[in-house]
Amino acid sequence: MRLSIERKIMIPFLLVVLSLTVTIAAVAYWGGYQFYVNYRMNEIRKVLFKSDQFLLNNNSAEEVTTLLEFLGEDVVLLEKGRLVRLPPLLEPYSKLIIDISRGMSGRGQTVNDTLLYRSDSLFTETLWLVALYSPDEDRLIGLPVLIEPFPEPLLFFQKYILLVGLLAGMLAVEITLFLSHHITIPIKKLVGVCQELIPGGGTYNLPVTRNDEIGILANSFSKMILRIEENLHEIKNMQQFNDALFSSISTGIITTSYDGQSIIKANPTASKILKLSEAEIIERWGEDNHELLSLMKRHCLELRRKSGAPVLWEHNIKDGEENLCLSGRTELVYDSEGKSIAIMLLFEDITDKRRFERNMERVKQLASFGEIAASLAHEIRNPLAGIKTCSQVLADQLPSDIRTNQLVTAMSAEIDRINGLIANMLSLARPQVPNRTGVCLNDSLHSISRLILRVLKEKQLYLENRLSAELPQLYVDRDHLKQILLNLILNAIKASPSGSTIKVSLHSLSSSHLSFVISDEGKGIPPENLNKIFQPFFSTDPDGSGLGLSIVHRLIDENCGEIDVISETGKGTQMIVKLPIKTEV
Amino acid sequence: MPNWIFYVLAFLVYSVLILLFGYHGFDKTKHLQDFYLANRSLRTIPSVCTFLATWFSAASMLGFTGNVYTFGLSTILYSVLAWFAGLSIILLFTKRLKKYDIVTIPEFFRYRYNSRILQALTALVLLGCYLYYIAMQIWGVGIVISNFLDIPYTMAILFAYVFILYTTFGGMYSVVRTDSLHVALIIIGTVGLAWLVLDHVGGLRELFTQIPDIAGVPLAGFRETSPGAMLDPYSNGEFSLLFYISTFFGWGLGLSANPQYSVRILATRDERTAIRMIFFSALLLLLIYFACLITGLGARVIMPSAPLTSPDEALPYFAKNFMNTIFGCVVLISLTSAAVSTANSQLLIVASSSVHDIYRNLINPGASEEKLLLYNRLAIVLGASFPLILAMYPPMQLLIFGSYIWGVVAVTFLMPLIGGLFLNKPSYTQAVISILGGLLTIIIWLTWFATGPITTNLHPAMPGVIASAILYLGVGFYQKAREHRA
Repeated sequence: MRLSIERKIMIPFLLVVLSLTVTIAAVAYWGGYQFYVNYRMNEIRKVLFKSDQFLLNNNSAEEVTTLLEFLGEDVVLLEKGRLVRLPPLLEPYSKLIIDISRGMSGRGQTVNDTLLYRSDSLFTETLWLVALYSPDEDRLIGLPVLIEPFPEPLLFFQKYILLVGLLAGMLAVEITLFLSHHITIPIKKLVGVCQELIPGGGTYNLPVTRNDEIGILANSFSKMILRIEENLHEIKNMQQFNDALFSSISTGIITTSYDGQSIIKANPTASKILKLSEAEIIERWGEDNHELLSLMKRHCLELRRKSGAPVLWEHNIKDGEENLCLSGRTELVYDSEGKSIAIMLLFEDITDKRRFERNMERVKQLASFGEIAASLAHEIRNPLAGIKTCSQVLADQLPSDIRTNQLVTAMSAEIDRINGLIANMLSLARPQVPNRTGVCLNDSLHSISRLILRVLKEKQLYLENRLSAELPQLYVDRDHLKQILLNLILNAIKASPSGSTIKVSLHSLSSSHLSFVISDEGKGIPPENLNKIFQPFFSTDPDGSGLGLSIVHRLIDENCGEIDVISETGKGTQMIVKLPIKTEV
Repeated sequence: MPNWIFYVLAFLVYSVLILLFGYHGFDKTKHLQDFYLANRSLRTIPSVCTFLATWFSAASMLGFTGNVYTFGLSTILYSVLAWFAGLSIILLFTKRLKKYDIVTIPEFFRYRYNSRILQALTALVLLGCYLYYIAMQIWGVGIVISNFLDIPYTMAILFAYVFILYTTFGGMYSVVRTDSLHVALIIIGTVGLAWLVLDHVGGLRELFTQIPDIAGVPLAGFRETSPGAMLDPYSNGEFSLLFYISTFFGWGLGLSANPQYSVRILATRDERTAIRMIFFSALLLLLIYFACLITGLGARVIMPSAPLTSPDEALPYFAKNFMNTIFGCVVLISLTSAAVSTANSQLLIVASSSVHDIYRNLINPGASEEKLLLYNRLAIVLGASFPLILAMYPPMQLLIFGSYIWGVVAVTFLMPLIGGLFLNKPSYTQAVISILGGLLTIIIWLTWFATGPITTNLHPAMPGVIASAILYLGVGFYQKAREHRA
């Protein structure tokens, strides 16, 4: 049982009052008892003296009888060593009484109090004999005195002590209760406030209007709590701000233990980049079958090896069918005393950034190529026109035989080929303002398929259109789209082995863009060439000009689109073209 | 061993029990609602205990038993019947009263009559009445303790004072706890006494065989009882029907308007508990009064006459001189319980009236609860000390004095309470005029007829209540008529 502070004050106080009362009662009783015993003895002694005086003067038998009647039935009379009267109460002590008289006989007239009996019980009962010896008559007169443990007169007196003690006890309890209650009010309030504070978030009210130490304590406590609450509020705000920052920052952040073996926390951006929840990141940290997490853990360990110097890293990994490029930094986290307490990995997805950089590079290349091409075309076309005219004149003037005709025809064809090449170069060099309008991808594909039908037949290839008939219209230049499709499909035809299939299918569709894929089952592009295929004049085909994909890239770019390539050597290539769709106004 | 030792021992046991039971309230009391109304949390059994213990006072036990001893069965007609009629009226307004979020009955008047002055005025009347009534309880229990323990009266009333103070200090929680003990002691005591008396007389049948033959002067200065008067409804001409009716105004209506019962209705946890509290209390009271009736009649058979001057002294005298020590111990403890349990409830009302209805209402409305709790406890000390001094000079016969006090309560509270509960728009003016008119009537009646040349045994509450009702309703109608004309 928990003892309240009031009871802790009250119980000792009450015990003190009660024990005092009991002590006073006991002392008073003991004193009263002694007084009572002495008083009774003295009274009997007086009676005996008077009786003896009476007997000295009046010794007749009648007078003695009168006296004995006056003294009552309990009187003891012993004359000349013979017991004349012995009350029944004293019969067990007859021998002792005779001995007493013998003991007194040598000392003249004297009074003697002899204890005849004392009970062994807690409340002692005593039997005394008060005897007076007269040596002249050799006579002993005695009266027994039986002292009860609780004589009524004493008890009557004790009643008041008991009742006063009871009154004092009740008043003591009352006053103690009141005082202890009054003293402990602020303490109880403090306890109440503390109990409210334990679960957190509780409000408190501690109005104390006292000026004593407890009041001061309560007020100090109240101020302290206010201060703590203000600080807690500030800390909470700061923590909320940090959490918001941690959650909303576009950089992925993972913090690990100092040894890098376990993860403390990962922010939502990290989860988004790694496509794993925070719990999964924590669980799969360092697993070999998760390439990035494995690499990150290695960086943490490397950081430990490098004694804390930040580690910068960049990884380009395969994420399903796409490439994922991550750039990051691993560094130590220090506490206020400069002691390293954790490792932090900061990283971001730079796939788009890298792609953009590549595109920019291509655009730059095309731009510089365009300038060269334009000046070259201008310089070559005029003499070429002259050569062609001369060749026609020569053809007219030369004898018309088979050999000559073949030569002239070949010359003319080569001049046309150079002209075509120059036209392509010029189309690449001259930026053309696209005439963008709503164009159906299926229609464009259908229109170019007639142009390539013959080539497909020759190589026994199949063009499979997997596009849905209900695709939204693209918002591009109609001719540009045809040119893009034609160039890409012709490239695919060139790369495809006989009997294989070229597929045109939907890659993805969003509210603003449509991506389609032209895939072949050809020999594929070696990884080292992937970055070069859009460069002008880059071609692995000895007969190719190396301008087709450059033109495609240029046209897609002018129509606000993007092109990407996924190729695997020996398995084929996928050209992914992303173009804007026409939105309803 | 002398008898007084047993009485002292019984008294000691009672004191220890009171000490143990009374402490509880301090722990639980934190607000004024706790102090006055035990936070309105009383369940059926505790509420029945406190209602019953408050009801059954020393006046009830000494007065009722003594009057049965003196006048016979007719006592029921002017006391118990009137009290139960009052109880029925309480039952009528219990539901309505329970709906108000109030702490005291004077606060109800402020709420309904929109007057702080009325709250303070009614609180003043309560203070006067209850302080006097507590004095009577102290006096009653003082006489009993003094007689049984054979100690001076002054010391005996000190005991009563300490008991009352102690059981009230912890507020309503403390009162309810000690009242539970008191109810047990009262029931055991009254039923036990009846049992012992019947055993002495030779059974119920023998008692009612002997009662009609009782004759002679019961107490010094009282009319001789003629044969058959003990069972006569008018005690062979001692009382009249008009006396009974007039007594109903004082005791019956006074009881129904008495805030010490209304406060207990407010302290129950809900309306259903309040109704049950009244119902079960009535049942137990029937048992207790029946036991007291048997004791009174049995005492008259065993002790046909006593050298006493007041019926109130009959029971203690009978217990001490004609019955064994156990009977005396039971009488002592039951009477002390009855007095203390009534007085502590009234002392709580004294505290609430002075602190809540006067100090907080008029002087310091913004006082903190902590301060008010402290003031309440100080009010309890002062409220018990004043009656203690008053009890040094004991008033007249207990029961008659009690009836005057309840008469004052009836004229002051009955009409404003009923009007406040049942009328739509009771006015402050009609309440004040009714209270003052009723009080004036009762004072004039007491002055002229009780001490003047013309004497009557009509209870002064009757004209007082009638005047107060006429004034309340008359002023109300007049005001309505004026409003209608305007």
